[in-house]
Amino acid sequence: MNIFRLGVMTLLAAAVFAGGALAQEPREPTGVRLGLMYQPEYQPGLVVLPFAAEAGSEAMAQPIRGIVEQDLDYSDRFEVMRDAGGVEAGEPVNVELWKERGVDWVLDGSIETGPGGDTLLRLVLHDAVYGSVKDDRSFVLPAQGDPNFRMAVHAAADEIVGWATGDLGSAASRIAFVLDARDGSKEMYVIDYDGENVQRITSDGAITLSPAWSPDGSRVAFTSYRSGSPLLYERDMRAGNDRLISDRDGINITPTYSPDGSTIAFSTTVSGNTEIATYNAEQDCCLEQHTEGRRFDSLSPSYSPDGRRLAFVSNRLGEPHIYIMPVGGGEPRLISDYAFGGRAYNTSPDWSPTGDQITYHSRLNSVMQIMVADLETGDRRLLTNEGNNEDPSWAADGRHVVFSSRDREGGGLFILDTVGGRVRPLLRGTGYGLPDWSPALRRADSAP
Amino acid sequence: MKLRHYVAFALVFTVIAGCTRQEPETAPTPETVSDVNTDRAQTDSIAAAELARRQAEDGDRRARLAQAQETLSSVVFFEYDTDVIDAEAEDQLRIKSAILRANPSLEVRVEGHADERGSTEYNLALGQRRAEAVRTFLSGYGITPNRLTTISYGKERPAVEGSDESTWARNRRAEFAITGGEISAIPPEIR
Repeated sequence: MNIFRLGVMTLLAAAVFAGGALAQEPREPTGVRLGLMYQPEYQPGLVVLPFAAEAGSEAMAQPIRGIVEQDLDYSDRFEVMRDAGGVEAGEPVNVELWKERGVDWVLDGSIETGPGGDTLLRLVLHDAVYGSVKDDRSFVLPAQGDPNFRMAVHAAADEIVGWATGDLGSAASRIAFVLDARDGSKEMYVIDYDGENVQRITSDGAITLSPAWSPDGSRVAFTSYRSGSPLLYERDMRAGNDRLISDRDGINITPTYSPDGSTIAFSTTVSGNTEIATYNAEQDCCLEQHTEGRRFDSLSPSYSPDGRRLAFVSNRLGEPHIYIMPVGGGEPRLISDYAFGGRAYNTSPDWSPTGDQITYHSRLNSVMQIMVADLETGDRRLLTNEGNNEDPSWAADGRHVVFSSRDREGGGLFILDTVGGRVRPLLRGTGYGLPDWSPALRRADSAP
Repeated sequence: MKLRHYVAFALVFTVIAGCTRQEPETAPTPETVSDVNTDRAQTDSIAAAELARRQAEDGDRRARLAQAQETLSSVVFFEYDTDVIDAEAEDQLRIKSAILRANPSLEVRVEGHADERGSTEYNLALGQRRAEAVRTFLSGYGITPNRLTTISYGKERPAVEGSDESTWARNRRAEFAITGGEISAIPPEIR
């Protein structure tokens, strides 16, 4: 038994012990989370061998391997060994050799042709520690020129993360954001999580703000001044058309979807205050008000993964703070740090898909930094300390967040591993803001 | 959309419209009664004086209309992260309310803005709150709220660029744009 597995036993024991103490606080139902077996701080070694290819598919092997290897690296779950050390594609895998080199996982792959003529990506994950095959599956890939090609490879890589850790990766995803056009307008764009495939979504010459993905990734809600006032719209990402969601007097801002996709929660002006309201996106009706401020605002809602609670911003204490409350209304609970007489500024909450954490940004020494609050322990952790960083949004893996930075490395959008602390740039430059990370946009298509 | 252009346009339009309507009425030629030749010189000097007086009056009126226009459009400023209307803003808004009362067809859009500090989304709510505070204040002075529309631009439309206290102070503001009617009456408050 190596240190990794010993660590898991300790973690499990700790979890059982801690479970007693936490029994009074109802926990979010998270389903079967094999991820409990995973010890996130430890990154086991992983190597991706050269992929073999049938005659005629050789040109695909290297690019596909490159995408998979980068995805596994970007998952921050492994220490990826970049040098496969003179191994030839198609050679029998010598796991003993890799184990000696400190590698825990060996991924072998090949490009094959399926019975129906489909291109198949076969992936075999070897557990070098146990000398066994962890999993061996083939995935159907679209043609290399197909717009879904890269996303299909990302989805296969997400499976590998799942085999090794119990939690799927979040590579098959995109990030929506706005870019300041420097002429008074901001337009919406989307980009693949690995920085590929930037697409412009709006061309209104108007201010566009706060894009928010629907849970199935088919729609994006956003605010636009295209009519002159800040109204709420929903873009059908496949058809490319928009529908109006809310055109109430005042502001119609900060949309977010309920986890089942049926409801859009947002903020709008009611009797001079900004209040959180919901709109039934399925039936296209039925506006409901969820907060009632007396000379204060409530905005920027974000649902818990069970859809029963909302995190949001309120300035009821005079300065903006993060609260959570039951969707149906009820006493809000303060989540961010309140110092009496202090000048706190906490906004832009995003509830993690795993349910146990809320990320937001907080002003410290007159710049914004990314924070994460643990809902069970009440602990708050500072995740950035360089530059001015805003508007964090969780990846589907509940581990990574994307945020915008005004001056870090010249500014841009960055992706942060909240566990290991690694930050990588997604887009560099000024004027990028309000990123929202999509849910998984594709699941790997397993061949029979 | 170029709001500033719109405001400028509205201003120019109102001034032009004002000029057209206020064009000096052609002074009626005084009736000649008996001796045209002897009265001519005297009549001419009276007419000239009358014309000069009217022109001066018109010029004065135009100036006062322009002043009313400027007063109505003057920017109202706020302190950091608040919609409280301070004493200076109160004075400004009281005069604005007088202009609005004197010109019942006038409709105005109140635009709330915030400085660049703080988040995009929170500042939208703050800008709206400022615009609403202005509307509430004006309705307290008898202006029907439906003559005033509100819009928030948050921190999206700074009046001045920069990152120092004086820049921020100039960006925390409410702007006023005429969306209907025009100024034709000048309230006693600005005479």
